[in-house]
Amino acid sequence: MTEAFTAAEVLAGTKLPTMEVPISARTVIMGASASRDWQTQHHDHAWAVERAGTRDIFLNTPTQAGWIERYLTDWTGPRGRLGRLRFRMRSSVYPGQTLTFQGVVAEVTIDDAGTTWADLDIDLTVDGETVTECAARIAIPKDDDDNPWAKDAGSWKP
Amino acid sequence: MGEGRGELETLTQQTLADRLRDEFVGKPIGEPYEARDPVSLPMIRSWCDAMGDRNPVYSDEERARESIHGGIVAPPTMLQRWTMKGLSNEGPPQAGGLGSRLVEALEGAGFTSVVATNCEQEYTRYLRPGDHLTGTTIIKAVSDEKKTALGSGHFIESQITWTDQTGETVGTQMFRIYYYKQAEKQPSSTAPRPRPAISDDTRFFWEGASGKELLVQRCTSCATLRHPPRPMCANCRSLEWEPAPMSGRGSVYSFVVHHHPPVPGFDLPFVVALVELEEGVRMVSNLTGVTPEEVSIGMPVEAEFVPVDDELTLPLFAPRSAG
Repeated sequence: MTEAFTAAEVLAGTKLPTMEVPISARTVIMGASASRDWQTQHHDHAWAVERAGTRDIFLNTPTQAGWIERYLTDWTGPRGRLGRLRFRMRSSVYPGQTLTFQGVVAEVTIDDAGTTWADLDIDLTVDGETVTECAARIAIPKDDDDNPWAKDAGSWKP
Repeated sequence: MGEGRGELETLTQQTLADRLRDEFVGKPIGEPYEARDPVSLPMIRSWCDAMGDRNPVYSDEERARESIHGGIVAPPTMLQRWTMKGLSNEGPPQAGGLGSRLVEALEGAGFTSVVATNCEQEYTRYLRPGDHLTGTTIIKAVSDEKKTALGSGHFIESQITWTDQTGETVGTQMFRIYYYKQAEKQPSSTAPRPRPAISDDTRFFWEGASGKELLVQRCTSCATLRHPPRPMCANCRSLEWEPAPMSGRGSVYSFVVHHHPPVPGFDLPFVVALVELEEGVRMVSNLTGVTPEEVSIGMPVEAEFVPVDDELTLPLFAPRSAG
């Protein structure tokens, strides 16, 4: 049960379950639309190929962020609270590809406000090649009684 | 491989970059941009649909009410979404956009395509329906002109800060994007094969090929075969010759594999072989029906007449079983 997820079961080196997302034109455009990103390269195939010189339309940045967040909170459950995301997009992600998410815990620390942080390295790959590399910092419950969402502005230090 | 974004080379021409830095770096883009709409449940639900995110505190009102939040909260990564423009893409620059003057300067210099390369977000406070955000964008850096697999262009780094209706910061984002002009298209194999230069000496060879005959010159004085075509026999200096049909069978005497650069009309890599015909003359051609790794010296081959288009038939060589 995700509700029972606590820091007790998280160590440096803990691996997250792999998540696979098949990419279609529909998923690319749905992500662009949900993030209200109407830049042409995220919905118009002919424009992307002829004007931008890419092989197809490609995933926009907010969709990648949204999927990374989902990947993390699918693992932590609703008590996981995202503090920080840093990601570098090395190559574009196109319809027809399958995007694979893999994550590993780099470090677990407790800050001076008592928040338990998991720092993770997340690798987004297509056919085994990294397309986006991400460093994420997410607060996780220390035990059953802890909830990172209870931190107020003064004690939340992402 | 695909469209890699690595920086390969720095060009020396920096005048545009210098000009853009002077004008834009360290300065906010336009006025702070107030979101058109407050944070709202329908938008959160659309986002969760697109992301496949079933976290109940984002979209299940009942469970969210029972949770620590006492109601729906927005996914932190929606931060930028609240201050994006409407679908008409009109109005003042959105948070995250570069503003029309910078974009016009880049587009005016031919850098009309854009990809994002880096994104760093920090979530200071979580958002609830009703929160109303304002975004402020500052240009932090403009790179010199770079060359990547996509084409040449400039990396632009911006920093966005979002505040809520009380003026408190709720999150920040560093965004690095690449404005580029599309790289020249590589020559592709859809281009026609180059035409042979046909002279009075060589016409018989190409006419033979179009009739699926492999012809070489034979001296009518001493019967010595010669190829490529030329006016005089190297053996007896006679200028008289006749075309002689060959069996088409031979073996690979030597070969090279062409990997780079791309050549119009050819798929890379391709094999250029010197084939020794069983009649004794040698002929340069391409091999077909074989991968470069499979080719070896002495490999038995046989002529194959390949009509590459309506006008041109080429005598190429394909592997044959020995004997």
